[in-house]
Amino acid sequence: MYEWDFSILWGYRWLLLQGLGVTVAFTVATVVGGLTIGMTAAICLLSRFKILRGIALGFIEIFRCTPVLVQLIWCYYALPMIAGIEMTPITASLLALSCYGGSFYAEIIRGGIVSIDSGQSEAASALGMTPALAMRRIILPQALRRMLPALMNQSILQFKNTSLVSILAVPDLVYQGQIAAHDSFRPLETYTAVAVAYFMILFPLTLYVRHRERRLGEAR
Amino acid sequence: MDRREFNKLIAMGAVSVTAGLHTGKGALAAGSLERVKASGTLRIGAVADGAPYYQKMVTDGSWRGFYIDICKKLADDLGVKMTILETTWGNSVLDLQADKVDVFFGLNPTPERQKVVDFSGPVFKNAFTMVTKKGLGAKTWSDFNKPEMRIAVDAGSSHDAAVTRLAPNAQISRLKTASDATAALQAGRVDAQCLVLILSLSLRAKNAAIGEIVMPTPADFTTSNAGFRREADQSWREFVDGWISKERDSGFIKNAVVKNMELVGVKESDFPPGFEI
Repeated sequence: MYEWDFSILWGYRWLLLQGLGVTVAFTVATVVGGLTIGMTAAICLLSRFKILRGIALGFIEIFRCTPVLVQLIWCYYALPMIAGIEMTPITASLLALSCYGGSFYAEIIRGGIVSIDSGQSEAASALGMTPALAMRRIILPQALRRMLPALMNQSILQFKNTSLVSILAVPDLVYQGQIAAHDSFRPLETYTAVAVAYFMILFPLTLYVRHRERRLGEAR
Repeated sequence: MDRREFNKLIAMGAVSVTAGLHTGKGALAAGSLERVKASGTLRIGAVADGAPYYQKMVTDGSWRGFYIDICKKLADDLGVKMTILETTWGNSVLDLQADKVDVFFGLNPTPERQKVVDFSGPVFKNAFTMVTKKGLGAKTWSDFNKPEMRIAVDAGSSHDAAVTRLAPNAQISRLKTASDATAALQAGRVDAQCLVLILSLSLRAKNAAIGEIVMPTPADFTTSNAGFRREADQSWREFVDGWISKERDSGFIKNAVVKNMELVGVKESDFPPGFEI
């Protein structure tokens, strides 16, 4: 019978806290980066110019249809070899995760924008607004409210996807957990603690998303 | 922005990407020895949980391990600074290929690896051992080569290759890491785990309850070598290879190994009699 001993984790508290800090920082950075990329790609998808639509579509499908683990390794190892772009593991991870998240955000944002009744933009242009102004003042504010649950959901996935950066030895919570597990020979306790840390952060967030969804349903 | 202007922008982007391609190729062309001397830095890879080879201290993030000591001496002898890239065993060959590090110590020259990277001669010799549950009683490779014997290894490692070669009739569990294999032994799911002597001694020092170390006869050895990126100019590999032979003869490498084994609680007297590093 296995004897559980969680007390050994106390010796690794700073290591695990540092890891948690890296995980949270990575999530924030890649959510912001992903939203920026996603918004740009979504606007391009809806553009009048065929070439912009083509580029955006190609970008989204490449990142949406390949595993993020492969993207991480590819950004870090293959980019320097074929393109001469030298990156630290952290830069490569930020780039890969932002692009991966961005491709999903783009589809959510595009969907949100097209879901707004076309009468809205027609009314805006009847009032003399340019398409850009109408997008900013009329369409996006309504669309963003509708997208919020889906965006939050994607951001939660993004939080968990950061665990994959441990493959490039980026010291996130999972990586530090592995170190602690190997060092202490107590993998079960360490990984349990890592899972608890993820849950404690994500559970309140999912509750919030559910709450938003309910309010949105009532508003309709 | 009209369409013509936009197309111009795209064209400019394409030109700058192509320019980027050229700088990259240029950096890879020079030999590593030249690069190390010119830049004044020796770039090595190290594995945070690779004790006693490499170990990043949990408390303050500093590095130790015998390969850290050996690389430090190499950097000192070259008159350059050493920089450490934190990596994993699995990624180390890629780190060499992608020009992230100049040398990686602690690779066994398996035929598959030899197809893609170059190797030095042996840095030290390591025997294959079995960490067994108490009272198993197996002493020879033929004792282990039985259908009822359950052996755990880390998949794709030299341990995996050794057990596949020497005990093909046993039930071999190929797990993701060596510590997963240790967990399987602890949980009683397997009878033994194959580990090289350096690692089995460290494991027992950390957890004496784990079981017994057996060096199955006839003894089978592996070597720990340094890996290099494959390049036309062999001067870097030749230089480090010569340096390793010299430091093996001087006893520096043996001392570094023994000293670091003491840090993990293994004394020189714990090594099986007749075993030479």
